[in-house]
Amino acid sequence: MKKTLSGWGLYPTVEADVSYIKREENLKEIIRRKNGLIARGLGRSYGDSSLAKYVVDFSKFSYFLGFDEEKNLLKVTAGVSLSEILDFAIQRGYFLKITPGTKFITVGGAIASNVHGKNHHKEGSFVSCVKSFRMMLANGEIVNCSREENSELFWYSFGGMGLLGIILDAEIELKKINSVNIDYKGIKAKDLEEVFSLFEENHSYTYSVAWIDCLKRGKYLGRSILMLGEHSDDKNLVQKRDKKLSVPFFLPSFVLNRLSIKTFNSMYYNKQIGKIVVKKVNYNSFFYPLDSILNWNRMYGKRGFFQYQFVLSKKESFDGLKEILEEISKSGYGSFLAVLKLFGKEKAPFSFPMEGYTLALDFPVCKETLQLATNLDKIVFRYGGRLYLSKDSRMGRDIFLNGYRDSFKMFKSLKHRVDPENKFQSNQWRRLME
Amino acid sequence: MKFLIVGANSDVAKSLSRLLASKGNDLILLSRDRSELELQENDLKTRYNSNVIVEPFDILDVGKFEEIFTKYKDVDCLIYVAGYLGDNQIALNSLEESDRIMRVNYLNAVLFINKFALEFEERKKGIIVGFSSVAGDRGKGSNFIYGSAKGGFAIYLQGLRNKLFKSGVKVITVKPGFIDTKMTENMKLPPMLTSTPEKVARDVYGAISKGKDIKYTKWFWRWLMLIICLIPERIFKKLNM
Repeated sequence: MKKTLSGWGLYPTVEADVSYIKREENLKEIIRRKNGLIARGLGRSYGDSSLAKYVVDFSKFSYFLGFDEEKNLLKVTAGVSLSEILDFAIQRGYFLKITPGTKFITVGGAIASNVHGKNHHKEGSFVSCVKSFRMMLANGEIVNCSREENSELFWYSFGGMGLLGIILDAEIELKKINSVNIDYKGIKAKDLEEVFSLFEENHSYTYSVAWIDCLKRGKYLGRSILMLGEHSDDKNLVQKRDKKLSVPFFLPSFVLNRLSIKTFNSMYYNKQIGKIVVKKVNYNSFFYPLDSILNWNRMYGKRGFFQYQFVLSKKESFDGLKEILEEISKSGYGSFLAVLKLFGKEKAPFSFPMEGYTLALDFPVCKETLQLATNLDKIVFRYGGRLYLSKDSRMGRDIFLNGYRDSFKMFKSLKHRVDPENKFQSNQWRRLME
Repeated sequence: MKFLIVGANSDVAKSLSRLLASKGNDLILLSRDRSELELQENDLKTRYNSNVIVEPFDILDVGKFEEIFTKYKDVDCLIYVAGYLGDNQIALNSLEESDRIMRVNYLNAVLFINKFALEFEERKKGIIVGFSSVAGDRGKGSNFIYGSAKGGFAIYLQGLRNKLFKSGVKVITVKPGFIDTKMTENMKLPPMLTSTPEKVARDVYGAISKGKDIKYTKWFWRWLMLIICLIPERIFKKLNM
């Protein structure tokens, strides 16, 4: 059936032929008949990663297959969401080992994007919690993939954007927790230099991320709040029903303008009065602040928005970020939310993270912000950084190739071997990799 | 409580089973496809440690009714979710398609429920939930074969409710509007009017807990259908619905 689809950024939009997956046999038949298809979960990647001529929708293929309590291993089908896993895990005293800033993504999507969280510097990306998965290849064959079995396919599927095959189910390792709460510590940093040294000093914290005010210039360039967290030990495992707000319709695009964003950023920075704040917060507000507002993507208006997330190597991070923040504040198009994080080393070869700083920014789609993004691309290019595919809808091929280089060559040669007819294609694949 | 769900592999039934299991109820799931039933069984046991029994069963297989009834007559609540949308245009010209639409949505539903109705009446306890549809409230040119079967089913449930009222047995008619499911995967549905299986499941659960007679889901369909049913036929027939 033809449906109008987009990623979470609502840009771009395409007409796609969508089929729900009920069973593995279904999928085999679809793969045999169609060329140019991609799997889609909850559609939370921002750009065109889950868009294609034919889309196989896994959101209804969500089954728990079993839980091995001794090994903390949960086996689920690819359509199970992290939110469902949390509902299961928390009351039993477990938590996701790796989680991004939304729980409304599927396990299949988490693998394809190799998502990362606030603990990347300590515990790595999503691959660190996946023991194995089963994948259906272009020829309909089902293979087991793990660090021991079909290991090349295993490693390159993390960040492989669903282009090597379709993930059917996976074994996920959960971590033990003693509380639903997070012991939170917020530290204000007056500029970029300070937040960099704070990241280093607090390296031993399991969770760390910084909110950054990207409209500040000059002396205050990069003023931010570093947010640190550890799982609390207070034995409180009672899940509160989270209340949900919703953005019921598209806000007009003028609502988020330079002034409102500047005001918001100022208020956010000044909300924390002291230099250091220590408190206990629920895991939902620490990990998933935006999940409590359903459809928050409508905040940017009908034309949608895009995320700009890049990473620079640790050596280049300071100079590069400084230049990028100057470019943004000069343009006047501030990002409503800007998030800075220090990554650790990354194990999956064809993946976004690398040791260094990553910054994520949101911009409403318009001519000026797209131009700004192109200007930022040039800086990222010069510093040898790369952009996150799961958030991208617009970068050029040169930027992509420069960012992923050799790992992409390896990836492409593997794809050629396992999918010689290019059965699996997303619009992103066609835009950047074909 | 112990629930028997017929048509358990539908998206709505799956959501309902999860909701019921999460509240500690026991489930017996009947549907055609064994592999999907086994996925569900595993899922419910893993998530909620539930007592679940699954059994492949086709509502068209009348010969098996007695066996199923004897095995599971001790349930507290029977939920009939099985449905077949079919294709109205094909059905007009195909005995087989028409037959299937009418059997799954009406005839066999009635035959199957009758046994349990008598059993429940005798023990003066029990709940019967049947899924009709807003399509059964007024015949439309585009799907009246399905609609007439669902409409007939609604009248059956209504009559049954009145008969069993005296013996304390509850009969609940569920009338869903558009739901985003595999059944409707080939239809372009208006987003504002379309519900999700999870929301429908919550509504049905609410109707069971509160002992409602008729439950439209989403709620506004009750009023929408009231208006649609008030349109005079001489005007309605000119509308392209």
